[in-house]
Amino acid sequence: MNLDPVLEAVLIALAKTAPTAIITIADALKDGETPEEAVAKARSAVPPRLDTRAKDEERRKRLAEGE
Amino acid sequence: MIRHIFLLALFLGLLLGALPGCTVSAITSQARAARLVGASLAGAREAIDAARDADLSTCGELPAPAERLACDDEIMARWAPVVASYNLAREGLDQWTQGLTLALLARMEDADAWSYLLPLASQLFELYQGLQIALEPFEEIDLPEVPNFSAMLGGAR
Repeated sequence: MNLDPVLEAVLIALAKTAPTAIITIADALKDGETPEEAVAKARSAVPPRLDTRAKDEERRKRLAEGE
Repeated sequence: MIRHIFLLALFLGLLLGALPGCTVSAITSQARAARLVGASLAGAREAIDAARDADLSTCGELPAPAERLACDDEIMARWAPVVASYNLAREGLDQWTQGLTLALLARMEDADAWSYLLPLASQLFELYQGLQIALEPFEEIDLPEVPNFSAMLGGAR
C-alpha cells in the first residue's frame, strides 16, 4: 500500500512523540488480519479504569497520621 | 492537544479502510480505529495518573495534618472531573468494542455494521471531547501533537 504524504507526515510525527501509537498503527497496517483478529485486538486495547480510591485512602491515612 | 490525538486515532483507523488498495470490512476498519483510540486513552490514563499523584504529593510538605488533608481535598476535587471524564471515555471505547464483537458474531453486512457501529463511535467522540475539556486546566499533561489530518480524511473518501 502506498501511503499518502500527509499520512506519512502523521506517522513520522507520532513516531517521535507516541511510540505506542505508531506500533499500533504499524500493526494495523499489516496485511492478512482477519476481522476476528482485529476485533480481538480492539477489545484487548481498552485500557483499565482509573480507580484511585485505594491509593487515595492510603495517602490520606498517611497525611492524617503526620508521616 | 488531546483532541488531535483522538481525532487521529479515530479517523486514521477509519481511513485505513478507505485508502485505495486497502479493502477491509467496516468491522475491521472500525476495530483498527478502536485499537488506536485505545492506545491514545492508555497514554492519557498514564499521564493523568502521574500528574495527579505529583500534584497530590505537594500536600505532604504542609506542617499540620489538618492543612495536609484540606490541601488533599482541594486537589482531589480539582482532578475529579478529569478522572471521571477519562473513565467515561474508556467506557465509551469499551461499548464500541463490544459493539464490534456483536457485529462480528452477528455476521453483519458492511452497511448494517456501519449504521450500527457509527453511533457508538460518535458517542465515544463526545466522551473524549469531555475529557479534552476537563484537561484544559492541566497544561502539564503533555500529550503528543499531530499534524492536521482532517483534510487527509476528506481526500481519501
